[in-house]
Amino acid sequence: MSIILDKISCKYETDMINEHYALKCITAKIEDGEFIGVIGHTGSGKSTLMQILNGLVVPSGGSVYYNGEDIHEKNYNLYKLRSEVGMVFQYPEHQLFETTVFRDVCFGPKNLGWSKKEIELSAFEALFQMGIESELYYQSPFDLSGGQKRRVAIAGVLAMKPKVLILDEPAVGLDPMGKRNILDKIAEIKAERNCTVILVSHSMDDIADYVNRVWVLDDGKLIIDASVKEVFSHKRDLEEIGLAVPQITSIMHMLKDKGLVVNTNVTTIDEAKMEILRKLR
Amino acid sequence: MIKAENIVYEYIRRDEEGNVEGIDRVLDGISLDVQTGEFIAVIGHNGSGKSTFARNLNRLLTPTEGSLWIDGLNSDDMENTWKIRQSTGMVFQNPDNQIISSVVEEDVGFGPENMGVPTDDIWKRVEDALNAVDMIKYRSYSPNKLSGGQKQRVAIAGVLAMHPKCIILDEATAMLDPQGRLETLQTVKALNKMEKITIILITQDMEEVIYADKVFVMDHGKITMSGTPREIFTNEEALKECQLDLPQALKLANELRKEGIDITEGLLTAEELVDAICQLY
Ligand SMILES: Nc1ncnc2c1ncn2[C@@H]1O[C@H](COP(=O)(O)OP(=O)(O)OP(=O)(O)O)[C@@H](O)[C@H]1O
Ligand SMILES: Nc1ncnc2c1ncn2[C@@H]1O[C@H](COP(=O)(O)OP(=O)(O)OP(=O)(O)O)[C@@H](O)[C@H]1O
Ligand SMILES: [Mg+2]
Ligand SMILES: [Mg+2]
Repeated sequence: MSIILDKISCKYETDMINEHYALKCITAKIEDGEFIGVIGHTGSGKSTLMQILNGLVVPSGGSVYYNGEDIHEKNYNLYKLRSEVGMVFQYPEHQLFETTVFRDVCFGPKNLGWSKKEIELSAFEALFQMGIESELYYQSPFDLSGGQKRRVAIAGVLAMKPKVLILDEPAVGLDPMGKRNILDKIAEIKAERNCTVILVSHSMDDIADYVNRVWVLDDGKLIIDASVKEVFSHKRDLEEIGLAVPQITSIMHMLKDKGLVVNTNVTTIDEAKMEILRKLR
Repeated sequence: MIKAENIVYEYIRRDEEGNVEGIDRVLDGISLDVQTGEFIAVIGHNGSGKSTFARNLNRLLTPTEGSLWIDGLNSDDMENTWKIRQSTGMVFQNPDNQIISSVVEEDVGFGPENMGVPTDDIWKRVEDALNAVDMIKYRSYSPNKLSGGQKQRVAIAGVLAMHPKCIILDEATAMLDPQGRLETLQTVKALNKMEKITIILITQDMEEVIYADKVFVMDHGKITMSGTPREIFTNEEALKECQLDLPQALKLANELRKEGIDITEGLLTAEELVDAICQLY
């Protein structure tokens, strides 16, 4: 079981004379149970690529194979694909529409042919996991704060228990503790169900803390597909394309520039602590 | 620039027939004073009332109780709506709520045009604002066809072009790539320093708080802490209780202290931490 991207390109019609390729010949493979991070400058094609993965956008060239089948083939069951590949959109407003929070979270599982009890149980569980207070369950999702909407949107997708979870900037707008809890919860669910998670994020710190493998997009091209450590060892290259290394890595570089001979290939607080202690003791 | 005396804001929830279902007190006695030219950060958990407070500052909402003056204008007085909106420009949490026109440059020019700025000036302002956010290339695009971060940049440009006395950014940099975020904050900081524009920055990113002169922490509709970033960040436990956290550098500093390393207290930036570590070596 896997997802294969075979020379995917995507052209958008712009109002300009020139057509614009948002994605240029992307080839990659995702195995079951991977946790992939996707980074890239504003407009580099991340959201477009995610929408292609779940069949919402049709590529202008190339194919996506999900478990060996081409998802953009005429007879392919996209309905089934979307029940297995869940996607949280960059702006949560784009997926909230029911009259109450609870109904909204039930919407996805309802389409899966589950019993009423299973649906409601799954919805309650997801709402609880996302830390949504029970007072909000029967309010309109449109009357929520930005971070509350985000939590409901994630809950709606988690409630479907997808095999592949695509998260486009899921942590934006969450308060710092809420963000930790929710990303921890997602990592926990991933470990429990052995599902695949794809996380798009502008937070290099979150990418460093959670994912196993990173894709770096630059102007529609997949320029790096490597481990976290490998990707964040290219500080200068990342900065040139609008990105950065995690805060912690950048602190290690600053120490080194001051003449302290430390290993700069460090991405988390724990690693940094050990490395600095090693130097100071 | 802003003076709030014990303001209360209540959302009234109604059922389908319009009967009052419940009253939510979302701002619960907020008093504060912001001087012209100050750079203020507002932080707080999801649903703590930050955006509601911001909407009161722009007179999209008016306090249920208490009094609020913006640039010397009493927000109770309906006649002041227009003047208040001219002096305080707001960038919303979701840029979709802000897009008015189908062409980027018209969208950015909408604010100044409404303010009666002469046409030649408008174009100059639009150009400067789009340059400031690095979106001049997209001037003739449709905002609906932009990526999430590109929309956010256009929304920021729209407010810059109004040349308001006070700019309110409600998580306006959350979708930007690391370089874009840095540049935007530097632009904002420069406007604040050079032109004495008052800045109200609402954010969940603790790294951004460092730019502020003063921080207000909101918790369940109340301001529970205020002070300089340095003061606010001395109390990790209190922040965590409010669902907040420290910037990465200060978390690392605290971890090192727990290991018995004698790092100077009261640090704020990564640079300061690096200097403190180098001194020990
Ligand atoms: N239109 C509305 N009608 C009723 N309640 C609302 C409405 N908008 C917000 N609320 C409620 O008011 C409270 C404060 O919301 P607000 O948007 O001000 O929070 P916030 O601090 O900006 O949160 P976030 O960090 O998630 O953006 C929340 O509990 C929210 O559910
Ligand atoms: N519907 C559309 N029509 C035309 N062009 C589009 C459309 N959607 C996106 N684009 C363009 O395609 C490119 C890639 O957009 P995409 O939304 O995939 O970027 P992204 O990497 O997700 O960016 P961000 O970090 O800002 O969310 C951008 O240059 C954008 O302007
Ligand atoms: Mg995007
Ligand atoms: Mg808000």
